[in-house]
Amino acid sequence: MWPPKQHKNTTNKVISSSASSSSPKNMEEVWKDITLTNITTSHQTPLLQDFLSGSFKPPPPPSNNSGTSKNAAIDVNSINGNMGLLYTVAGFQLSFNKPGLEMKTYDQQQPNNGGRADRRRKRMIKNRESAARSRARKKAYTEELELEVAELVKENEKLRREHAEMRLRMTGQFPIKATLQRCATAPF
Amino acid sequence: MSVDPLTRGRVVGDVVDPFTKLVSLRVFHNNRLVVNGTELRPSAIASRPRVDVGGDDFREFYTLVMVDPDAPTPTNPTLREYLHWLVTDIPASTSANFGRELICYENPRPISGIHRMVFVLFRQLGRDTVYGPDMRQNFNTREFATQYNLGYPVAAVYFNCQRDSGTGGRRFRPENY
Repeated sequence: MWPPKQHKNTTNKVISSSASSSSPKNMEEVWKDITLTNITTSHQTPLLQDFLSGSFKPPPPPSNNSGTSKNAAIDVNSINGNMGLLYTVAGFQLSFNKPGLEMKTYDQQQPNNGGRADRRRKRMIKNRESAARSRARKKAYTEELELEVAELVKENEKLRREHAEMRLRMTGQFPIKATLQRCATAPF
Repeated sequence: MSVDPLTRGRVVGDVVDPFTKLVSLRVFHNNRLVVNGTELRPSAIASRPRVDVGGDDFREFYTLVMVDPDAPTPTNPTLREYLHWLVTDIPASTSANFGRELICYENPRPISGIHRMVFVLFRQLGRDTVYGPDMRQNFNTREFATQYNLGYPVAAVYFNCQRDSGTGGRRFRPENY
C-alpha cells in the first residue's frame, strides 16, 4: 500500500514482538517490528523516544540532545501527515503486546529542553491512541446496532409471513356461528 | 475490516482470540439486555446482572468470566485484566445463579477513562474442573482458558463503563429521547 520509504533504515533495529492475530500488511509488519515488548529489561534495546529522535544507536550520548529533538519534531509530523491512519492500526498493535507501554523517562540524559519535547511527544501519542479508541468505540456500537437492525428486520418479515399464512389457514376452520333467532311460535 | 463489534472494539485481540459463537449469552442489567458497545455507569451495574446461558444439554457446564481489560486506566492498563466475576459449573440453558460463584461480583468503579467490561463464556470439559485465581488483578483470560482446558470462548459480550460523573463518550443518550 503505502511505500514505507522513511522507515526502511530502522529494520536493523528490529525487536521481535509477540504473535499477531491475523496476517498483517507490509506497513503493519514494519510498524509491528518497531513496537516495544522488551523495554523493561535492557537499555540496549532502542526505545520509542530513540526512534522518534532519529537516532538508531544504543543509548545516545548526552551531547546529541538539542540536535535530535528538532529532528524528532519533524519526524513525528511527517509520520502524522500521511500515516495518521496507519498509526491508528499500529497504536492498537502497540497495546496488543504488553499492557501499558512503559516509556522510561529520559530525564537523566536529556536536559530541560529535550524533556519538554519528550513530554509533548508522549502526550501526543497518548492522545492519538485515545482518539483511536474513541473512534473504535463509536464504530463498534454503530455496527452492533446495524447488525441488530438487520436481524430484527429479518425476524419481523418471517413473523409477518407466518402470521399471514396462519390467517389464511384459519379462515376455513371456523364456521359462522349460528345465532339464536326468535320466531313466531316463541312462548315469550 | 470485519464488521464484528467484538473485533472492532478490540475485545477480540486484547482479551480473547477470534472465535465462533456457539452458545447464546444474554446479560441483563435492570432487565435490560446488554448490547455490545452500550454504555452503563457504575450506579446501574451495582448488583449482579442476570446472565442466561444457552445450550440444551444439562450435562454441559459453562464458565463465565467478567474482566476489565482497561484497568486502572485505558491509556495505561497495568492491571489488565481485572477480574470482576467468575462463575463456573453453570448448566446449559440455565443462568449464572445456578452456577458456582468462585470470585464474587465486584461492582466496577472505573476512576479514569472509559473501560470495556467483557463477559466471556467458556464450555467446561466437565463439572468441577475449573478453579479461581488468587488475585483479581492481572488476570489473563487466555491463560486461564488454557490452564483449565476451556478451549476457545463460545460467546462474549462487552459494554463500556466510565465513572458516574464522567463526561466522555457520546454526547447524547438515547434514553433521553
